[in-house]
Amino acid sequence: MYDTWTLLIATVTSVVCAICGCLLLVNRRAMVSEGLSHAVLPGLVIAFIFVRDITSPWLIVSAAVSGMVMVWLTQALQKTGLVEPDAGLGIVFAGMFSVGILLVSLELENVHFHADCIIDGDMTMAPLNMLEIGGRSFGPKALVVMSLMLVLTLSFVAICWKELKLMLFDPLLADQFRLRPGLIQFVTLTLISLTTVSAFNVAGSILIVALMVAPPAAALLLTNRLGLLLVVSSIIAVFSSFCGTWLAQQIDVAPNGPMAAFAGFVFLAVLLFAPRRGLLAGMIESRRQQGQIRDQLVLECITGAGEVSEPDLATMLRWTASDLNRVLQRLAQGGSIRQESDSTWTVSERSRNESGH
Amino acid sequence: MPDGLLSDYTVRTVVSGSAMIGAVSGSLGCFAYLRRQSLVGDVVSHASLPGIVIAFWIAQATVHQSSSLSMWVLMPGAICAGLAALLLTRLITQRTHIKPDAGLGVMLAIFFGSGMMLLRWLQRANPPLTGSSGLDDYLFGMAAAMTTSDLAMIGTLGTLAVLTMVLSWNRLKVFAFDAEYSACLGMPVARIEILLLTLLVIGIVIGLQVVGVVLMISLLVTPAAAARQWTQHLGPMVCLAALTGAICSAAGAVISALTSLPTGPVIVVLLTSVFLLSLVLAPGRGLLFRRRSHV
Amino acid sequence: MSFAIRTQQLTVSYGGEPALWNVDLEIPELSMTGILGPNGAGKSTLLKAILGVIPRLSGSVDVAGTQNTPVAYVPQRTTVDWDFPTTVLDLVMMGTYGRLRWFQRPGRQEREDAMAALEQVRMTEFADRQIGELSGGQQQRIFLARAFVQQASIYLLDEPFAGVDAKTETLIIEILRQLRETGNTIVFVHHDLTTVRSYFDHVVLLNRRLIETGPVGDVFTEENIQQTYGVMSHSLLEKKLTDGQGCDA
Repeated sequence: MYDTWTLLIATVTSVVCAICGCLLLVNRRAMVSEGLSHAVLPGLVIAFIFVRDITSPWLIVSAAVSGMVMVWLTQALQKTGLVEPDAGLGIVFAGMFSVGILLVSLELENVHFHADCIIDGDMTMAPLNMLEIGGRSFGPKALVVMSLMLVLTLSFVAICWKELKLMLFDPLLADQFRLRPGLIQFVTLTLISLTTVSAFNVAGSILIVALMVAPPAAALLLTNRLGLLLVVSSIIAVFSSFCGTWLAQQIDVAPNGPMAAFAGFVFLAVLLFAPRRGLLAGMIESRRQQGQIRDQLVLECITGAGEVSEPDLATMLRWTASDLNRVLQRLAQGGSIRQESDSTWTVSERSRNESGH
Repeated sequence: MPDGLLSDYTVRTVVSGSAMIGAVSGSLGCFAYLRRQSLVGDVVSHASLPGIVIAFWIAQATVHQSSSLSMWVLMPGAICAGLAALLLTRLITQRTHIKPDAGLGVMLAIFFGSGMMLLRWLQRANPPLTGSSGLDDYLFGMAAAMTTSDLAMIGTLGTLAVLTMVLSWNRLKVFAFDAEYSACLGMPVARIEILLLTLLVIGIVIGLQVVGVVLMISLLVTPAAAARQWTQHLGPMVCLAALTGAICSAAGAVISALTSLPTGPVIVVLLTSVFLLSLVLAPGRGLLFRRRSHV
Repeated sequence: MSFAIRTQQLTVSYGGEPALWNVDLEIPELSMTGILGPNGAGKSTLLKAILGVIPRLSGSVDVAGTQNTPVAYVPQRTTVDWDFPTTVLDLVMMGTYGRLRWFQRPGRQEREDAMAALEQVRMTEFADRQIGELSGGQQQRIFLARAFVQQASIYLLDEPFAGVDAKTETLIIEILRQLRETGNTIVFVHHDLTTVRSYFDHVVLLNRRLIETGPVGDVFTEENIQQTYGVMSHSLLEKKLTDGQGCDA
C-alpha cells in the first residue's frame, strides 16, 4: 500500500509538472522553472515564521506569491533596459533564494528545515502524512494537493484552450481579439508557481526542473501541435515516474533522483532517435539533401558544358576527385548522365529529353 | 574581536580565498553577461556536481583517502563535467529544434539530477566513505572548509584564467561584441569560443566551494550587472566587477565567520544589494537619475 | 577589365536548403556594385561566402589583391548589441584588431588610424560616446569608419541604408563615392530600387541563383527585375516556368 501511494504521488506530480512545463517551454522560458523552484523559498519561510505550522495552507499561498514576485521582478528588470535580458532571472532568483536560506538560519535554527530537502525533496516520506478529516482518511496529503493541482491545471487548459494557444503563439493577435493575453499569462504563471510550491516538499527543486523541462522538450522533438504536446509529455512523465520509483526500490534511495534521471534518459533517447527531428534522423536527412544538391549541381554543370572531363569538373566545383566520382557514379546509375570516353561525361538522351520539355 | 579573528590562520585563508574567487568569477562573468549567457553559468555550476562526485570516488578508490576532498582532485572533474554540459547544450541547440532555454534546462536537470543521485548513493555506501559528507559543502558552499592547499589551487587556476583573459583581451572583446565580425577579421572564432567557455568554466568551478552550485550564478553575473551600470567601457567594467566580487566575497566570509551564517547566501545578499544600489544610483544611467531627467 | 571578386560555381547550403545556387559572377575592380534581390535571396550569404566565413558546398571565390586582409565588411546594424560597454573610438579601433597579433595591444598608430577614419565619416566629436547613445545613421557611419581602418581595397556592406535617414544616406553614398575614386571597390546589398541607377555602375541580381549581372544600364531592366523579385506578368511567368525548371528543388 505504502509503495502504491508513493507511485501515485510520483505519477500525479510528474503529470502536473509536465503540463506546466509545456506552457513554459512553448513560451521559451524553460529556465523560469529553475528560478521558480528556488524563489519560492523565502515565501515559504516567511509564512512559517508567522504561523509556525509546517502544514498550514498559508505556506503554499505565501510561497506561490513569492514565485510570482520573482517573475514580476525579472520582467521589471528587463523593462528598465539596464540589464541584459537573460541575466535578470539569475540575479533575482539567486538573491531571493539566499534571503530564504538566511532567514532559515537566522530564525529557524531549531526547526527541522534542512537545506538539503530543498534540493532533494523526499517522496518516500510523503505517504506517511495522511489527510484525515473527521476521522476519515482521504489518502496522503501530498496526493490530495497534487491531484487538486492536476484538476485545476487541466480545467484551466480545457476552458481557456483557444486563449492559451493564441497567447503562446501570437500575443499581439490575442490582444487584438481582446482575448486578454496578459490575464491568461498571469493565470498561467500563477498555476505554475502554485504547482512548484505544491510539488516542493515531495519533489525538491531538481526533480521539479527535470519534470518541467525534460518531458516537454522530448515531446517537442516528436510533435509540434500543442494538444499532442501536452499528451505526449504527460505520457513521458508517467513513464519516467514508473521507471524511477522502480529503480529507487531496487537501489534503496528516494525516488526523486532516479525519476529525474529517467526523465533525462528519455529525453536523450528521444533526442537521438526521434523520427524526424532527432539528431540521427537530422544527420541522415541532411546527408541525403546534401547528396541531392550535389547531384543536381553536377547535372547542371554537365548540361551547361555539354561535355566535360572529370578533372575539369573537379577544379570547377573545387571537389576532390573521389567526392566527384561518387556523385558521377550515382548519376550514371540513375541514367541521367553517361560516360563519353575515359573521363569525359555528357548528359544522357533521357535527361536531355526531359529538360527539353 | 574582528582583529583577533582576522589574525586567525584559518579565517585568513578563507577570506583571502573568497576574495580571490570573487575577483576571478566577477571579471570572467562579464563576458558571460555581455554574451547573454548568464544562465549558462547556472547550468555549468549545477552540471559540475557529477564531475565532483566521480572525481571524489576515483580518488577514494585509487589515491589515499585523506586527499580525496582536496580541490586538486575535485576541480579537474568539475571542469570536465561543466565543459561537457556546455558542449552538449550547444550541440543540441544547433542540431535540433530545441531552443536554447530548453537545452539549458534539460542539461541542468540531467547533469545535476544524476550528480545528486550519485552523491546520495555514495553517501549511503557501506562501509561509509570517509569525507563523503564533505561533498555536501559543494551544494550550498562551505567557505570554512577551505584548506591552504585549496587556496593554492584557487590561486593557480584563478591567476591562469585571469592572465589568459588579459593576454587575449582583443580577441575576447571583439568576439563578445560580434562573433561574426571577428571571423571577418580573420580570427579563429571556434578557438576563441572554446577558450572563453573554458575560462568561464574555470571561473565557475573554483567558486563552488565558497557559494555552492545553487548560488554560483550570482557570483558570476551579479557583479557584472552591477559594474555595467557605472561605466561605458569594457576594461573598467571588468575591473569593477572583479573588485565588487572580491569585496563582497571577502566581507561575506568575514560576516559568516563572525555569525556562523552560511557563507554563500551572505555573499549573494551583499552582491544583490550592491547591484540594486547600482541600478538606482549609478550616475547617468540609474533609475533615480532617470526619474529626475523625466521631470 | 580585371575583377576584384570572382565566384565560380559557388553553392552554399544551410541544412539542406541551398541559399546560393551555382553562382558565377565577376565584380569588376573599382566599381560600385549593388547586390539586389528579394528577402531570402542569399544576398548576405553571398557577402559572407566572399569573406570566407561560411562553408561552401562547391565552387570557389577569388579575391584580387595580395594584402593581408583585402576585404572589409560592414555588417547589418541590427546584428549587434548596442548596449555593449564600448565607446565609438573603441569600436572603430576593432577594425585594426585583425592585424594585431594575439597578445598585442592597439597602440598610437591604431588610435590615429581610428581618429582619421572618424574624421572621414564626420564623427570625430562623438569619439568618446557610448555606442548606444548614437542615432541609427551615426551608428552606420561608425561601422563604416571601422571598415576604413582595416585598410582594405574592397568594401562589402550589408544594407548600409537600413533604418537610416535621408541626410545620412546622402552622406554615406558621398563617402563611398570618394572611397571608390581613391582606388577601392565597393559592393553593397541594397533594397531601394528607385536609387539603383544613380548609385551603382554595376549590379548583381540574385534570387538564390544568379539572375543577371553586368553594367547597370544593360542589366537593370524591367524583365530582369521582375524575374528577380518574382512579381511577374503573365508572359514572363510562362517563360520562367519553361526556363527555370528544377531550380526550386
